[in-house]
Amino acid sequence: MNNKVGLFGTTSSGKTVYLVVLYEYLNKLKAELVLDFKNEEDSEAYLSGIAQDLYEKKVLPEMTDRRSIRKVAFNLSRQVKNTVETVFRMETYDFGGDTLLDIFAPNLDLSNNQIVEIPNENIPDENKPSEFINMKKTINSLIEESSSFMFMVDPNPIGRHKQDRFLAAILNQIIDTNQKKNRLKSNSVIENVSIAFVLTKSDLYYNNQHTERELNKLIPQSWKRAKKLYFVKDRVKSFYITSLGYNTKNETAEDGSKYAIVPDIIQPENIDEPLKWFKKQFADYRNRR
Amino acid sequence: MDRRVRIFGIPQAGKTVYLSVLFGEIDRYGFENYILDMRDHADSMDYLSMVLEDLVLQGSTFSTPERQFKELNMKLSYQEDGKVKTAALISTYDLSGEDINIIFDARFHSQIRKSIIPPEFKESQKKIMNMLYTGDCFILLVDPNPIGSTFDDQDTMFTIILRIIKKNKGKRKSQKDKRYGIVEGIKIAFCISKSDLIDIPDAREFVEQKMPFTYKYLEINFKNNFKCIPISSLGYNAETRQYPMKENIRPINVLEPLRFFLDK
Repeated sequence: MNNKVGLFGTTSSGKTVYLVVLYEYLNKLKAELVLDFKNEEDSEAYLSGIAQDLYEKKVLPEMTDRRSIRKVAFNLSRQVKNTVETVFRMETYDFGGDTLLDIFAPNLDLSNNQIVEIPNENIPDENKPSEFINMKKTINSLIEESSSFMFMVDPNPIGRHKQDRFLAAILNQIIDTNQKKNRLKSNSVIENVSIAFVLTKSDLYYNNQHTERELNKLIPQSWKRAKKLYFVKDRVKSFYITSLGYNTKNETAEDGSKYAIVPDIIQPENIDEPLKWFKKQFADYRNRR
Repeated sequence: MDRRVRIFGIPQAGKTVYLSVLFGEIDRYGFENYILDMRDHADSMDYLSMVLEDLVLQGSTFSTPERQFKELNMKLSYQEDGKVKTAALISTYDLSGEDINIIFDARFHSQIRKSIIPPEFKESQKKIMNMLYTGDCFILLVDPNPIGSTFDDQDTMFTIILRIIKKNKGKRKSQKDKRYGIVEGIKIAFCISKSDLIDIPDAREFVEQKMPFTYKYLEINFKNNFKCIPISSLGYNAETRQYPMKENIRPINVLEPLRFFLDK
C-alpha cells in the first residue's frame, strides 16, 4: 500500500476550494508534518494564487477552462533521522468544465425519443477526441498509482444521476485496476484500498451527521457498491466537511440552487478528518505487514 | 443461488417502467441484504435512470424508439467471505411498437414460415431466445388493459414462451426422446401490471379467465411452481384511476416477484 491519495469529484464539487483551504490550514499548522512542494512548484504557485483570491479578495475560484488539465500535488512530510519521510501524498487533476463527466460518464439524451450518448465508453478510443484519450490515460495512471481515494460529493450537483454515474465509473476503474494488479477474480473484494466519501459544502445543506443517509440519497450506486460490495467495510468511510465554514452566507440562484458568498473569516471544519483517517489506514496496513 | 430473471410482455405492458421503478426502489430504499450492482451494466443504469427521471419529473412514460433493441440488465449482489456474490440477474429487452409481435408471432415459429422473419429482427430474435434459454425465473407481465392488442394475443405469446422454456428445460428420458416432461426448478411470476386501472379481486382467477391456455399450460407443465401477483409500478389511485403524476409514484408489490424467486 503506497501513500498516494487520489482526489476525485465532479465539476464544482469543491475539490479546488478544499485543496486551497487545506493548503492554508496545513501551512499555518504548527505540527510535525510539513507541506512539502519539492518538485511540485507549479502546484504551490497554483494553490497560493487561488488562496490569495479566496482569502484576500474573497473570490471563489473560477471554473477551469473546458478541456484543460492541471495537476495539483503535494506531500506531507516530516524529518526522521536526517532524512525526509513523506507520510502521504495528495494528488489530483483539475479538469475544465464537464470534461471529466464527458470522459467517464456519458451524457444521455432521451429527448425526441432518441438516445444520444456523448461520448460513450463503448465507443472505440480511436473514435474519440485525442485529448480525451490522453486525459483518460492520465486519470487511469493516477488510479493505478494510488492506494487511497477521496471522493468529493456535491450535495447540490447539476444532476443527481450524473454525479453518481461519474463516481461509479471511477469506482469501476479502481476495482478493475486493483483486481488486475493483484491478479484477483472479478468478484473478489479489494482489501488494500481505502476510500473516503467526503460530503462537501455542509454549510449549505447540512449541519448534522446524517452523512451516510445523504450519501445513500445522492450517490446510491457508488456509495453502496463501495461500502457493501467491492471493498472491506472498514476501509470505506464517510465524512462531511465545510471548506468555507458554517458562517458562510448563501444566495439562491434563479434556478433554485444555492451558492456561497465567501465569508470574511474562513473557518473550515473537519477538513483534516479524512487525512487523519488515511494516516491511520496507512499505519494499520504497515503494522499488519 | 444466482437467479437469472427474465421479464417478458407485449409492447406497452410496462416492462421498462416496471424495471425502472424496481431499479429506483432498490437503489433508494434497498432490498433485504442485496445491493444493486450495475458494475457491468452502466448502459442499463443510464437508461433506467433516465426513464425513471422522466417518470418522476415529467409524469410521462418513455416510449421506445422504433426498430430499437435494447437489452436491460440489473444485478443484485451481496458480499460474503471476501467475494461479491450475485443473487439475481434481472434482464429484459426493450422493443418498440409491433416489433415484439413480429418476433413472437405464432406463425413465425412454424418451420415453414421461419425464413420470412425480416432480417433486421433475426439478431433481436436470437438475443430473446438466448434470454429464454438461459433464464431460470420468469416475470410474465400481463397488460390488463391492452391497447392495440387483445388478451388472446397475450395468451398466445405467453404459451409460446412457456413452450420454448419447456422444450429447453423439460425432463426427457434421453437426448433422443422427443417428449418433454414436467419442468422443474423454473419459477414463473405471472404479474398483472397496471393493476391500479381495474379491479382484480383474485389474481389467479383473473389469469385463469383471461388467459386460459397459458394458465392450463402452467398448471400442467410447471408443477404449480408459479405465482400470480397484481402489481402497480406507478401506484394505486382508486378515485381517479389515472396515472399518478410526478412525485406521487408509489409502487405496489413490485418487489414481490423477487421475493418469490429468492425464497429458498
